[in-house]
Amino acid sequence: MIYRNPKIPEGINYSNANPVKEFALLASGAIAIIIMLIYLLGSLLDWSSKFIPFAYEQELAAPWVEEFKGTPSTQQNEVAKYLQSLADDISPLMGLSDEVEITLHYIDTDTVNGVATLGGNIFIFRGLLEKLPSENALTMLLAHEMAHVKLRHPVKALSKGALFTLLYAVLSGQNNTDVSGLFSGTSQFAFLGFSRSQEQAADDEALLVLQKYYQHTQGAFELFTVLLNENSTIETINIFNSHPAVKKRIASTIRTAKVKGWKIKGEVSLMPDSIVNIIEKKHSKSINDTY
Amino acid sequence: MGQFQFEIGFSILLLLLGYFFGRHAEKRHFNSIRQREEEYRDILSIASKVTTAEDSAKPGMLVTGSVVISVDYFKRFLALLRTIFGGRVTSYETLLDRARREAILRMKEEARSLNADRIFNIKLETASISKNAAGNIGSVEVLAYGTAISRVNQGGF
Repeated sequence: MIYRNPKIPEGINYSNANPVKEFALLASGAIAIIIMLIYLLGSLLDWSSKFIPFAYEQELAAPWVEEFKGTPSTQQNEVAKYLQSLADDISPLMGLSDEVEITLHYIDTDTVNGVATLGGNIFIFRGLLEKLPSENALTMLLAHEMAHVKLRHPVKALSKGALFTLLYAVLSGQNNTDVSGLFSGTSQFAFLGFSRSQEQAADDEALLVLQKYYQHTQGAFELFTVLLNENSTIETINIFNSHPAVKKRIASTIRTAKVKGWKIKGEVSLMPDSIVNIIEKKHSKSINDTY
Repeated sequence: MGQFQFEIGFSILLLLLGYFFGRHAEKRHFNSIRQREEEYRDILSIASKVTTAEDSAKPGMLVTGSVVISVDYFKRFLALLRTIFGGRVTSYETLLDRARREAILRMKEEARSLNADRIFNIKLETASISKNAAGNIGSVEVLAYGTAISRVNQGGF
């Protein structure tokens, strides 16, 4: 028997192909699958959130709301009462379902913000309230936040947040992510971000309410003007960052008003003096405190 | 989610490092393997146990060659992606090809130091070090062994 070791050609047992190509193909496939999964689960959550009882939302939010609100002073309560009465006035126009209950809170800080969160809790900050020129603008703001509650945006945002945390925990294989604590913590309720389409939907609802209440939509423009000034001067993290660019909102409002034949200008009513006094007194006091 | 961004960034860095260093090391290794395979071409490695009349009747000697190679992050990631889609894990194929050929070369080196000309009954064994234990470096060991015999009238042992 004759033994020989011939030279074996290269590339039989392995491939000479560029691994980067393979990597790009597989990674983009994997990413596409993940995005699709997120999209599908997100849509499912969006659709199914209407089955979450409102009472459950309220229960979930209660401890955090108490903590965030602190102990309001008599004057703060007075402002909150005023906001609440305005909200109660417009809520019949909103077509809220029976179980939904809107609770207004007034927070005495400089934050230029209004927040709708779980359980129908709406927070209006002095920083924004003191800048509003009329009750019409305030009505637009309240209607906008109430529209978020009506459309169940807070609970949608919360369930999406939970979904992302869960997916992240699963994909990264981490075992220290507190998945069980997703709903028990309180801080994550603070400022739920809404998507642009959700903001648009809330704007549309609010505009309709404004038209029904005042027979014109000037309040919307007044509110947007305040936001426009705010956006260009202060770079703080507030809900308006997630809002569609203010200029676009103004344009879309004009378009809607035109299509529906609504008046853009009209008579505005001012906020009651007693409320304005409280807000401005607080304001000048805080300025004195600072300087 | 600052932590999330950090982890993504860190993974991308590891991928790039794995790709560039791993590819450089692999290229160098393949070049060295090809060169040494020519050098040791005169030592035959044979899977059969049957010797010929040319081979010395003296008892054979066990020769072994073993090599451990680590998987780089890029190859691991590519293999991980393959666990989703299936198909040839080409990133590990090159790794194992290198390991097998290197093990045979080291075995031949030992045979040469014994003045042997042929290695009969060659066997190859592959073992994964640390298996799939989490947080461990994935390395592979390849062991080649056989019986070295010199030819008649060639001196040797």
